[in-house]
Amino acid sequence: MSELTAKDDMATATESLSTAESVSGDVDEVVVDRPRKPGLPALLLQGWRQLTTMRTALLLLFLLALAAIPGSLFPQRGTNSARVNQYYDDHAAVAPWLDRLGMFDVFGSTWFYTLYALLGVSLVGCLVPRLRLHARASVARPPAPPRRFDRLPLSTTFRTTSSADDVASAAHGLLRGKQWRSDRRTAPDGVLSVAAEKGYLRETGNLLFHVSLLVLLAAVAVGALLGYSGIFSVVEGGRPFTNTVAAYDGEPTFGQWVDGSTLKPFTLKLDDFRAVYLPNTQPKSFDADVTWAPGAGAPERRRGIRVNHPLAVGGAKVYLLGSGFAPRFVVRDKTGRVVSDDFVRLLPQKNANQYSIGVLKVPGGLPYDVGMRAVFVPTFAMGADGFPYSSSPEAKAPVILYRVFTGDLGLTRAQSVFDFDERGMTVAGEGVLVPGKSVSLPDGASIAWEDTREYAVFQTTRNPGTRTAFVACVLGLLGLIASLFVRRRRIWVSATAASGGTVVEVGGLARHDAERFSAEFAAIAGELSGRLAPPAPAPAPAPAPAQQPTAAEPSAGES
Amino acid sequence: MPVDIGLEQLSDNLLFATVICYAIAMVGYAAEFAFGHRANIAGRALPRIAGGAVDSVPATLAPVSRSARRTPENWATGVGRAAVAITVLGWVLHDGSVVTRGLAAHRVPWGNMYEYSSVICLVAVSAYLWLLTREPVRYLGALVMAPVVLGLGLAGTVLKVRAGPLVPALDSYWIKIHTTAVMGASGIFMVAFAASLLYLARESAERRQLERDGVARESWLPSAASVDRVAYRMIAFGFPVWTFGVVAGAVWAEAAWGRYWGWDPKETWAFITWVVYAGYLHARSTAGWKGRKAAYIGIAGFVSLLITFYAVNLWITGLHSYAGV
Ligand code: HEM
Repeated sequence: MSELTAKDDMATATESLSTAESVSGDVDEVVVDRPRKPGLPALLLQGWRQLTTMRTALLLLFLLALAAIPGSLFPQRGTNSARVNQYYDDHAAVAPWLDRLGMFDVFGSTWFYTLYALLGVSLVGCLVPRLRLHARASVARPPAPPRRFDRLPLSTTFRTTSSADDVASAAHGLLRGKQWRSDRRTAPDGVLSVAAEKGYLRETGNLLFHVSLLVLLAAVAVGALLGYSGIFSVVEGGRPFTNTVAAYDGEPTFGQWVDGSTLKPFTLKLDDFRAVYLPNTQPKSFDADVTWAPGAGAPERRRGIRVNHPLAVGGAKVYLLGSGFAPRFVVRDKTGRVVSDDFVRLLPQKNANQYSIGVLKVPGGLPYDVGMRAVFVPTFAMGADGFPYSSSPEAKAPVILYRVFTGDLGLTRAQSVFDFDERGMTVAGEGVLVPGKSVSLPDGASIAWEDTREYAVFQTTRNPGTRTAFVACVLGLLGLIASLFVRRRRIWVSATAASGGTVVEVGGLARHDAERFSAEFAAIAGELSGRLAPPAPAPAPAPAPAQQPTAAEPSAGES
Repeated sequence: MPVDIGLEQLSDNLLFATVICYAIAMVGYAAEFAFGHRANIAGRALPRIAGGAVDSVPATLAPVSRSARRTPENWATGVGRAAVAITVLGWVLHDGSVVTRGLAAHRVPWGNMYEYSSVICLVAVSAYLWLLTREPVRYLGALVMAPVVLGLGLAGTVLKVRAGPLVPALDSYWIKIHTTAVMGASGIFMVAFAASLLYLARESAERRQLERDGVARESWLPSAASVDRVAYRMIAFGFPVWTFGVVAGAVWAEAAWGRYWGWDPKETWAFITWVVYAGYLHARSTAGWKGRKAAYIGIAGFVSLLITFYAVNLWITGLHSYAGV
């Protein structure tokens, strides 16, 4: 490009065929020249220009891609905080250092945001002048023809006996008919010419794409600042869930600008949960039938929630994430009085046919605290290695392997619902339990396994940027397609009166897909010569449509 | 509905035959590549831009070269033509394998890694054959067939699973749109990858020749510029398709998990791949980044794509590994 623009007579012809390049700073000659001021402002200006060049954008893009890599290699707090803790246990020496570098929260880390913001700024800086230039180019006349057509990548000359005026009219009409933006002009020396351009949509599309990208960046940021999401679970026929911070499993995550007061009130009961598996134990479908109400006292509604089919409540949505088994344990003291009766949610282990583990905690009602570790095996089978496993995810032959502890649970410390602290406890027994049977404690108290139900895990999510992000994606995609497949090109025709007729020169320039343009150019030049009167027989050469230039000068820029 | 075992078996056998065809074709292409006529064609010099790579075929050369380029033929040319015929045969068998797999499982035949691999390779071969109907790109054959044979071989051994219905998370209509687009783009990028590799080789060869003889001459092999153009066209075509696929994936993720983007490893790598290919497109229109640098970026894009597809599922776990809901 720079070679071509350097030639003065080509400058007008190629000027802003890509507005992009002329403002991206890659073609130094075209960059607006401002007088150099010394000192800080000049430095800032230079920094700004540097930031908004395409080269910097390219660099930032790659840095962003590089920066995302650790986010896929290390466990991330946002998606899996349990694995982060696991990582801390396994790599005690390096974990704190990685943490300090933000490796466990890459996509929320300062340096990731910095890159993200720099890219945004670079994009704005690059777009504003391009939008201005393109707006101007969209209403401007196509640029005047170059002085010498033979310097253009494509050019041809022929003679006709038609008048120069007829030539210009024919060319103008022909190009307009083909949806070119065509402009007729008369040079000071009297030469008539037609300048035509097509494919403005390319730049329009490119700008639409980049603007959409900017809108997408903003929508993602809005979602991160104003959204929230939390996980809760409900046992079939068990206590309903009410949408408050305390009812979630663990603290819901809130965006920086929102807190618990943004939670929309609603209640949700799980009436029935059905998991269907194939004979090969692969899950086939999960269905949760729920009864819900938008706020206390509001009329109740029944609905099914399935994977991929969330429930919309206010601006939030409730998704079905998973399920598990919840055996019901009834704890009685030595006199037979019930001290605790509840469903205990057990955590299914990965790829283990709902082989699940969990704990029962009885912090009061007996002279001591009781803690029981339970391994639930839905379909009991004994492996060749001597360890029990589950041969099916359905509760066909359920068994619980337990180890019961008595002592002090130390519940003043924060604890997971799936674990307890054994430090103040002693083992009081272990064994295998089948439904309906009980575990006896040394003083005559008992824990009976009375029933097994399923529970469903739900996630409430609100992300206010979602619709905007979607619209930005759709528009961006349309812009991208235009930006990649529309070809911008120019054709000039000049008509010079000569003895016995008119010399017609046709020249063409395309920045993209030179090969296709050369065919199009040949067709247009041929059609033009066909519309004109044939040349006087004697000296003129036969009309040679799209005669190729002699100098094998490559067309500028993209192919 | 139960899986149709007979059809599943037929699909497996067809795939096996496909791999054999492709492997034979690959050898044929490689033979033509190695032993095809290396004689200079009328000693025509290739144009160059000072200091850089040949940027695009000037209009002078492109239409002329196709008709006037009567490549001297030898036995290897025949082998190359036979390789195309065998590729077409393999392609027909491959189509049969994919269709019967879908019929056996009563669903679209892309629901797990094995099936994805097969369909991506099918798209790559289709893209190559389609290109072949418009341009003489037989020289790309060996480089397209090599990853295809490798991919199918890997699919048939390491990734092989029995046909069955989709896991619930995958049972959505967005998934069909998402996976179709993503696989389509991947197959197209595979051809671009082959072209970028060949570009690097041709570019060095031309540069060496230029240093030695002062001019780069045309050989029966394509000019670096025209291979580069094939790579560009494939990436320019694949990029919007990939973009669409990623957006469709986000729509699906929104429906399935309540967030359209969560930086799950699969999503992260899809993003990285997207950024690298966007980088390629930018590089192509940035002075000083054209030619070899752009080709390296295109290759990096494909490596990133492979990581997105294979490494993430096999070694990095996330929601997309579908171990549970
Ligand atoms: C995530 C970020 C970005 C993506 C995915 C992206 C993507 C694209 C794509 C696909 C094209 C079309 C290339 C072609 O016409 O062949 C393009 C062109 C362009 N981009 Fe970006 N872009 C991004 C950021 C930026 C930034 C930050 C800048 C500005 C500094 C920028 C400046 C340009 C320019 C000037 C063009 C026009 C090139 C031409 O028509 O010759 N882009 N971009």
